[in-house]
Amino acid sequence: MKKMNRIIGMILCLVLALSLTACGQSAPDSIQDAQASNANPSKYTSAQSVLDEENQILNASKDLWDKVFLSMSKENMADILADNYGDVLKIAAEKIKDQFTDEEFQKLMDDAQQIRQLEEILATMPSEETPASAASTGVFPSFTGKDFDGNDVDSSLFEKNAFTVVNFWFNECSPCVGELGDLNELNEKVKEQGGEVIGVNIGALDGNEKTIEAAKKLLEAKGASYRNIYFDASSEAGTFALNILAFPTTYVVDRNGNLVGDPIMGGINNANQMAQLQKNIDAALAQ
Amino acid sequence: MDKKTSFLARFRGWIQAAATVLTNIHLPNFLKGSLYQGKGKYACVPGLNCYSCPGAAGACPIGSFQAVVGSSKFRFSYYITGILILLGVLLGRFICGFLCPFGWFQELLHKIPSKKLSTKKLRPLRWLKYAILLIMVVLLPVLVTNELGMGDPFFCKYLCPQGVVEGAIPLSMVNPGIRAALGKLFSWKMGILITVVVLSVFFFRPFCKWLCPLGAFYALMNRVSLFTMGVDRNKCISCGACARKCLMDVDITKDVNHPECIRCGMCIQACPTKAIDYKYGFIKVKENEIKE
Repeated sequence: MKKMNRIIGMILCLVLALSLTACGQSAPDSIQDAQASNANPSKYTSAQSVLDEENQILNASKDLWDKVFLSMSKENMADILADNYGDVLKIAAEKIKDQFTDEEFQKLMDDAQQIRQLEEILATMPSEETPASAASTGVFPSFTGKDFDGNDVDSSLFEKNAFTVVNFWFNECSPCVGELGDLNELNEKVKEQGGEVIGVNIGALDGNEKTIEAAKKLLEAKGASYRNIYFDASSEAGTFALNILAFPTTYVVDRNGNLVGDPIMGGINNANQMAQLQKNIDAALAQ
Repeated sequence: MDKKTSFLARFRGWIQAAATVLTNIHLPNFLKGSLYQGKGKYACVPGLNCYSCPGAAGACPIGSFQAVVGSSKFRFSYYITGILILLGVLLGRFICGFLCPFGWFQELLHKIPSKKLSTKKLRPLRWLKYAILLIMVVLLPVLVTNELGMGDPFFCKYLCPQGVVEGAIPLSMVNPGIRAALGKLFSWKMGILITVVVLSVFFFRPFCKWLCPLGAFYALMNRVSLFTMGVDRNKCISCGACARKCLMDVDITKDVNHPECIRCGMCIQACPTKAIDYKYGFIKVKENEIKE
């Protein structure tokens, strides 16, 4: 028995050590402090850490960048041919230079320059780590269903939008309900770019009337007027929706019905998540 | 010591392992980074076992309770309270000693060779778990709500280290979306987990003794549980070996239904005269009492 205890003890040490290395990989990604980078490539262990750094740069002067993002509609971005995201940001900021003070504009240029360098590092990294591939190269399963007002909808709705933000939620999920207002704001904002926010309430699949009534009340209470739709739970899209394991989850779908980038898990109502979503939207617009 | 008793106490480690595997039977999900979301999740498992563990076969009673009372429709969950009372009456803290995966986890950590410290002097900390049960599980999800009457599962969200072991760590290792969502809250809970892990090496079951709201509920039910210990007064020589051996700081000869007794049976094995035994069913109180 003693011997057994010792063996179990050893195995446990091993498991512990392994689990600690596991958090060693993920923790720095998320905890990393906002530090302006000197673009030292060896600093970054994964593409994700580079992206995080970029997001932190954008978040540091969020108000300024939000103005820039707002201005980035498909029409006035059409002539931008830069490959580097940093350059895209520079050009976009220059277009609305008159909205900023000299000091603010200089800050935007500095940020964009840093992001330019980070993007260069990113380009040298193995491509399977970059988010716009791997898990994200899926297609939103085709569906036919109805919206909450009883109008027929089907997957052709993606074609009519420049991009579609699809938010999965359910009534009892408080972080989901908490962001309904923010999603509505996003919907108003992206309308100009030809985008749309769509809600899929997984409790309302199959057209469960009670759930739809309750969901409508929640939407109304949060002042959310964007479209919410449902389809059959047994359909391909239904299976897709029911396999989602974290709520809320937000996908960006391009005009061709492709899923763009990694889904955003958790509310979009914080700067980091919003920046991540914006990246997906920009990627969808670029296609 | 009859055969059943010797079996339970001697093979406790294996029973704990089996219980842990059975409550997390959907093993392939660990590789897929997905959750089982079938009908089994309508039922509660007896121990503290996170709903968000990829393998989990059922729901955690503490998590379910908070989810129900935190929703805008309900302020109390009779269904889950009923299940907990039933489990408490049938088994009491036997669940902690034999069926709870997080209890087993702490015991395995305790097997790591190191200096072992007694928790006897830290007894007042035991009361903390009752406060956690009352405040974080029962009250806060009902009282601290958004404008639509929805509350957070406070214990799960801010304290439970089992959620990190079984949910956050395995899911974030396989699922990049979850990994991207890890933030400050994860760091805070990872800190709690590391603290509990380190304490578990030096102390026996620190989480069970001081923090666990499920343990607190079963502790209250130990008084009325059908599963109990018997001390044969004719055999007991009052040597105190059982109390010295007990890692939960219980003197079983003074109180066979002590709230902290997790029915692990170490006292049964320590007793030189085999005066202690498991009892099940309606036991006459007198039979169990030690006269001064």
